[in-house]
Amino acid sequence: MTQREKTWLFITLAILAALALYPAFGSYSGVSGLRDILLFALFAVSLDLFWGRTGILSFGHATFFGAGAYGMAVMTIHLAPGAAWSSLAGLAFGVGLAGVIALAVGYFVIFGGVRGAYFTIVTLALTLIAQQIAIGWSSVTGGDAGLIGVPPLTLGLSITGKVFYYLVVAVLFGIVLALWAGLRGQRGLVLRAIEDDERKAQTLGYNTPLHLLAVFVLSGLIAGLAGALYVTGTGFVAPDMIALLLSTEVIMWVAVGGRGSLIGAVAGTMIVWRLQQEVSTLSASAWPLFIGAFFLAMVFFFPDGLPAAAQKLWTRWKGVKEGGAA
Amino acid sequence: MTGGELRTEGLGRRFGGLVAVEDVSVTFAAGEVSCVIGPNGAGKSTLLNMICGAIAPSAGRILFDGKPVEGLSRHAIARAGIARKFQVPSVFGSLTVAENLAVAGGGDAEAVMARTGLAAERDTRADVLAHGKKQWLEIAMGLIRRPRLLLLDEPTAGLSPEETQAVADLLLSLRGTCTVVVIDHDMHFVRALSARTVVMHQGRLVAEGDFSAIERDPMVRDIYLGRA
Amino acid sequence: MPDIVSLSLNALTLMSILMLVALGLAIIYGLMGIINLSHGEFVTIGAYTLFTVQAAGGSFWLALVVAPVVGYLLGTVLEITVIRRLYDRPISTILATWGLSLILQQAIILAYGAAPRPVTAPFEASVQVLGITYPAYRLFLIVFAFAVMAGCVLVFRKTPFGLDVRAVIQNAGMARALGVNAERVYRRAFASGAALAALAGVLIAPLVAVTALMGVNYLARSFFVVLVGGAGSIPGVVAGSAFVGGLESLLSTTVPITVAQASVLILAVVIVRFRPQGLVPA
Repeated sequence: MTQREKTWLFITLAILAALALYPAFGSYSGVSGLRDILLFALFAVSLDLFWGRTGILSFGHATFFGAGAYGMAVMTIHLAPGAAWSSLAGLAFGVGLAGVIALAVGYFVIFGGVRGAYFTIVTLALTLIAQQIAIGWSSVTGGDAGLIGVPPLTLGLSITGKVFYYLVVAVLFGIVLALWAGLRGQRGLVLRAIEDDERKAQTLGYNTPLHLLAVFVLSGLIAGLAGALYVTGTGFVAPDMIALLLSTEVIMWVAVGGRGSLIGAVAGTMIVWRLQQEVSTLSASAWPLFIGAFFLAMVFFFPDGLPAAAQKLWTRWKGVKEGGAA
Repeated sequence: MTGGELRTEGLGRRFGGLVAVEDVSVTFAAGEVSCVIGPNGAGKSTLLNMICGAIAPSAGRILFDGKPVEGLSRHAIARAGIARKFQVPSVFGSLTVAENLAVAGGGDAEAVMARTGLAAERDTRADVLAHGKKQWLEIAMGLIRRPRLLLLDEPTAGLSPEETQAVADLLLSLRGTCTVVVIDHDMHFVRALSARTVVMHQGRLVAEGDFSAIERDPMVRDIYLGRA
Repeated sequence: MPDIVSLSLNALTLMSILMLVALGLAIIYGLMGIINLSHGEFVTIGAYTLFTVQAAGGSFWLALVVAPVVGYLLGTVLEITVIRRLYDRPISTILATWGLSLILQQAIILAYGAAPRPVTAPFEASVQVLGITYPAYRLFLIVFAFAVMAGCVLVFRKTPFGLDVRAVIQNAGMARALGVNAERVYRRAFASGAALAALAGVLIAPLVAVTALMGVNYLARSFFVVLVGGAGSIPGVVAGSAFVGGLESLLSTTVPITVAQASVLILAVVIVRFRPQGLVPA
């Protein structure tokens, strides 16, 4: 294990420990609020898996989060209301729906050779269409109002409160650690190689579209899982869970935490949520304006994310200090 | 290691009205080193691109150990045992030398690094390597996969005369284990290889034989001096 | 028969708007390889120009002249302050123009409020065409849009500016070597695309709800016009607009509009798989 990996593991376990201890001190509403944020963090991890590890930016990841959320809601409210297994069926339906969308869109787009900016735009349009369906198909989705009455997660017994919180913490860190372990070796190297030079990777015998598609679908499944779990906590689903704004917010969470590290996405989500609470109290326009300004600032001042920019500043500052001492 | 014979039959490629390669039938014998030479625009690179699957031929066949491979995707051709070195050194910049070799294949990285003089740079990121070292790294990435056919597009571009000789020695040492096809127009390098040589001109195959014979061929000289 | 006529005219209306909006997007993509996500806001700006002009007592026709000027000027400012700094970073351009799009939307909400603003068409009459009664304004819109497109073709083919644009799309390096000022071509083309989108905004405004968020609808569809049609070519934009506009209008007679739009997207993605360069590449 390299020094870098040790640092990563230390930070991850430190955040895990802090989150595990939180319910002992936090209020009930605090615990459920944090739980929702952690599910958004799981969503951010799913984007970081694809964007961070392949270098291709998806502007439509809310499609998968929303597919999970609507899948869970529609199954538990319309298809199998009250059934003992309806939560489980909802989980399977929501996650499955997200996976199928990712597989279908990913197959055509990735094997069609769409990369870079074009890929970003196709996924952006995907979210717009998904949102339109969520609003327009009101007999199933509840239209603008969404659906109310999603039951709490029931796996044999109903999972609520602190139990649900700990389940979410376990799922989030289980997935982060599993992805980290799974991408440490050859698989992670191949993805970095594809990001560097896809053509060369092909001439070394790698079916690169297949690799990219696999990561995209896995990413979609994780986003769907986050969405499906999220609505069992809030009890309702609404079109803003499949909206373009959410697709772009998740990009911001990952960028704040630093792309590619997975745990950075978790930290970024928590930081930005704290910030949003402050900014949103100013006016309804304040938050979208803030996001807009953030993207402009990111492009010009910290294109590789905040941690990379901070590291650069730190190195420069240290350089100046040592230069001054010498 | 046996096999590795590459044969083309009536191979051709047009780009719109432009004929890049026409009716090329050539055999690169298993385990031998061969060179393809010709002036710029002779169709050498197009020929190479067709063999490794980057572009599909518009006519003819490509047989690798008797099995047709034309029109297969790049990765399928790579898996059939064909490795390629690009003209501009093509390595994974964000990976170290050792990691580049790990991505390339499961062979003995230590041995390959020793053979290509890269052992000291094993933990250096590829994007900060000197140009010559990148060339060596890409050759090493070809070797580690133990290909049955190694295609090299101007492998010595930008190398010093000593390094050029070293590449030639390395390629010649592969004789009997791997078919090697080198595309180049650097006569010094081709002379150093002194192998069977195929001459292309205006998309066609115009001469083939030992380099010593080719070198003395007045038609080849005319082609290089722009008189044909 | 009457159904077919009105369906065709509805399809032509949508196609006309998409052509005008997508042309700017397609030329900018073909020229600079960047995608402007704030392009939809220029449609919104055109629509709000119409509202502002009419609220101040001006006519529709005045707005039809003012809006492209506003679009051109704002486009120039945007190109100079943001776009040109990001030429070689396409993903960054997407993020930056998305940020701009959010800022423009909120600025419009702060200035005009979130509720839809009323605008009126220059004439309300309906006329008889091929056996049906059809709003005269929509017919005007179709004819006007095709006339503007024809004008753009002429500019593209006959003027020095058009020649420069085509040269840079074909080979920027070569065009520079021949003395074309590529940066100026970029700036003018970008501003012209913005002007066309603003013009489209004036034209569509009387037919839809004028809100600060209206642009995003046209952005996504125009993008698919470019994707399906092929970037950087006027025939591609026409073909793509006919595909997206025609199919959406046709499907929406039998299925809900949202399902129609989703189907168009899916078909467009399938086309991308088999014709990555679009139907009519540059």
